[in-house]
Amino acid sequence: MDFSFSRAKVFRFRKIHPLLAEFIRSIPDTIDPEQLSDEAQTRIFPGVTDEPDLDTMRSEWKAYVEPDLQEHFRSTREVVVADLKQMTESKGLLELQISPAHAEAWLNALNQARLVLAADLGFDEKILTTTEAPDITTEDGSRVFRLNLFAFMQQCLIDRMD
Amino acid sequence: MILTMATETIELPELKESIATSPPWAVVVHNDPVNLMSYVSRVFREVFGYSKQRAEKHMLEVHKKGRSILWSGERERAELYVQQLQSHLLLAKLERSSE
Repeated sequence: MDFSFSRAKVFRFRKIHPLLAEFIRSIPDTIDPEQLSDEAQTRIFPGVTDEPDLDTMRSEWKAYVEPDLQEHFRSTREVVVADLKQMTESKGLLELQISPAHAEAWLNALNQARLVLAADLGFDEKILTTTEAPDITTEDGSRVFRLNLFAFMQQCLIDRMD
Repeated sequence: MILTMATETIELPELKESIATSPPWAVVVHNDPVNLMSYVSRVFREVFGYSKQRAEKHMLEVHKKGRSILWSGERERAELYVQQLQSHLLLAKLERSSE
């Protein structure tokens, strides 16, 4: 897979192997709010404060702010779903184009997907920072691989957006 | 009919006291092992309008010390900042500021 940034400021991931494409296509499911584990839910919506005597603030946040955050993540996911449907194929390899208007949504979705995967790995630093190639035939190995793949994609976007 | 406007000053002792003793609030970002350093720095610049240098200083503080106070002041604005940071998936919380 390679990455390029055109004069029209379009982000392009090209020559994507079908297996990597499958992982990229898994992003909407990974961040589907209906499928989040409790750990992921807690990380995505951490609440407003840990101060012990501010229950009212916490409940107001849950009632009034979290729905806005949920809506924001929902619209982000929709952008990603739409772009994934536009992926093209040539000689067995795929291409994903991201317009400048969609780049922020992609950054957000990739970050969210990485947090969900890490939460499902128990935020185990030893696993998250391993330099060994993960065994993608296992569930955890697949999670680690996707974490790294999405980090690569995030960094490509950030480098060009800056 | 002549209408007159009241000009008396109404004292609200409880409210005055509440405002006087309200602590400033601190927007704190906590470390997590997932967010990319470049991403965190970028979000700080976007949300607070910080320079690249200042954003990176806070990002490194989060990375090395586990947390950084990004802003402190009145509650409403602090809550807005926490919401913006959380919309970017950063682990941001509100604390009573001791500063």
